[in-house]
Amino acid sequence: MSDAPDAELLAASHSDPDAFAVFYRRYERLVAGWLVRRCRRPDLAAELTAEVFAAAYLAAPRFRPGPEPAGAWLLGIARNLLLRSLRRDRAESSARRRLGVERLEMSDASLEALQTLADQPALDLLRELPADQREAVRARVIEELDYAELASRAHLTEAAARKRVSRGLAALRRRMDQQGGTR
Amino acid sequence: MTLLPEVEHALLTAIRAPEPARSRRRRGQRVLGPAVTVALACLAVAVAVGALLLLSGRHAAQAPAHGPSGAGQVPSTRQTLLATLGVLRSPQSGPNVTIHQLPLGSSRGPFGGKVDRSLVRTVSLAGSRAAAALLPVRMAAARAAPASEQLVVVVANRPPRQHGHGAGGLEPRQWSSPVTVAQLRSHGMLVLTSPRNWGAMVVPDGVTEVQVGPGVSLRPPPNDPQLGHQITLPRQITPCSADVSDNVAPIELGPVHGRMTSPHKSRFLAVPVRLQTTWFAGDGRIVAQPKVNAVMWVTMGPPAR
Repeated sequence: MSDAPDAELLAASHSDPDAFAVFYRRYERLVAGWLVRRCRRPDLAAELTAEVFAAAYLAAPRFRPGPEPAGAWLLGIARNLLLRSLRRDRAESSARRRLGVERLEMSDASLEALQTLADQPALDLLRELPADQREAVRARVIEELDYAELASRAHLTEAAARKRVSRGLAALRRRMDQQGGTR
Repeated sequence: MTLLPEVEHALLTAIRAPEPARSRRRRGQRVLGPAVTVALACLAVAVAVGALLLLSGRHAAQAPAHGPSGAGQVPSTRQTLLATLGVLRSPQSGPNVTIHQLPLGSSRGPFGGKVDRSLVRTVSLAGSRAAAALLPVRMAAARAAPASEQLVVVVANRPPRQHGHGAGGLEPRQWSSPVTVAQLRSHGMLVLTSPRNWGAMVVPDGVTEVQVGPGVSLRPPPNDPQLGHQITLPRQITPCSADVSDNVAPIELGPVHGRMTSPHKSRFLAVPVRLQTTWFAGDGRIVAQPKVNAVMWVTMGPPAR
C-alpha cells in the first residue's frame, strides 16, 4: 500500500484507515515543514498540521486525481487555514471538531523536531532540484502564482506547468523522506 | 517514523473510532426482523423521554449541581464542570455577565459551541478593574465525540460608565480556546494579555494559591536574513504567585523585553511559552505541578548596540 498513488489512498481512506495513515506519513513532513516555516510557531504549526489532515480526510471523497498533485492540494488547504488562523489569532479547529479529534498535547520532543524543521533551510532542498522544476515549485508554492500565471511566465502550456510543479514536489518529497530516514 | 506522533495518533484514533450509532442503526434495520425493529423503536422512545427529562433539567441550571446523579449513572460533563469549579455553583448576578463584542446568544458563537449563559460567571481580578469571565460552552456532538460542556476563559476590562458601552459590561481583552473539563482539572487554564502579561489562571476547587513560572519560550526567534529580521527573545520567564479566589488567580508576570531589527514595526510579539505551575492547598500542601502552554507578550525594542 505504501506505493499506492495518492488518489487511491484518499479514495480508500474512509473504508480503510491504514490508507489514510500512509497518506498522512507521506505528506506530514511537507505540510508541517511548510507551516512552521511560514508561521515560525511550532505549536501552531502542529495544530494546523492536524487540522489540514483532518480537513483532507473529510474532503477525501471529493478529491479527484488530476494534474494537481495531492501535495499541492494539501498546501492549498494549509495556506487557507494558516491565513484564517492568523486573522483570528487562533488555530482553526473546525475539521478536527467534526472528526472528533482530541485536543493535542504536544511533547517537547515533537515541538523541538518541528523547530529543527523550521530552522532547516528549505531552500537547500529546492536548490537540489533541476532548474526548471525549482523555478516552477518556487513560483507556485512560495510566490503562490496560479498555474495560468506560472505558464505565462515560463512560456509553457498550463498543463505543462502543472506537470512541472508536480514533478518538482514529488522530487522534494522524496528528498525529505530520505532526510527523515537518515536522521 | 513520523515527525509528529501525537498528531498522527490523534487523527487515526478519531478516524478509527466507530461510526455514530445513528448510521449503525440505519444499516442494521435493513436486516433485522420486525420484533427487533419494535424493540429498537421502544428504545428510541425511551431515549427521547430521557433527553426531554435532561433538557428540562437544564432549565433548572441556576441551582447548584451538588446532588447525586443517580446510582450507577455517569455524570454529564456539565455536572463534572459544576463539581470542578465552585464559582459556577454560586449565584449569578445579572449585570456582570454582559460581555461586549462577543455574541453569546448565537447558536454556535465564536467558540464553536453555544455559551451556557445561565452558568456564565465573572470574577474580579484583585488590584485592578479587570475581571475574568468564565463561559461554559456546550460543544455539539461530532463524529466519535459526544456533546460536551467546555470552558472558555475571557480576560476583560470593566470600562467606566461614561465609556459608552453601558453599565456593568466587560470589554474582552483576550480569551482562551475551549478547554475540556478533564484538561481543566489537570492543567487549569491560563490566559495572559499585553502589555504586562497580566491575566488569570482558572484552577479547580481545593487550590488556594498558584505559582506560575519559571518557563521557557517555545518559539524560535524568527530570524530571516532575507527580510532583515534579527530577533532576540528571552528564554527564561520569572515566576510569580497569587492567591486563588473563586477558582481564579490574578496573574501578572510583568513585561518581558525582546530586541528586534526588522522593517516591520511590531510593538509586541505573541510568543508561545511553556510554564511550570505549582498549585497549593490551604494547608500549604502541593496539589499538582502541571506544565501549561500559554501565549506571552514580548515588548520589542531596538537591537542592543
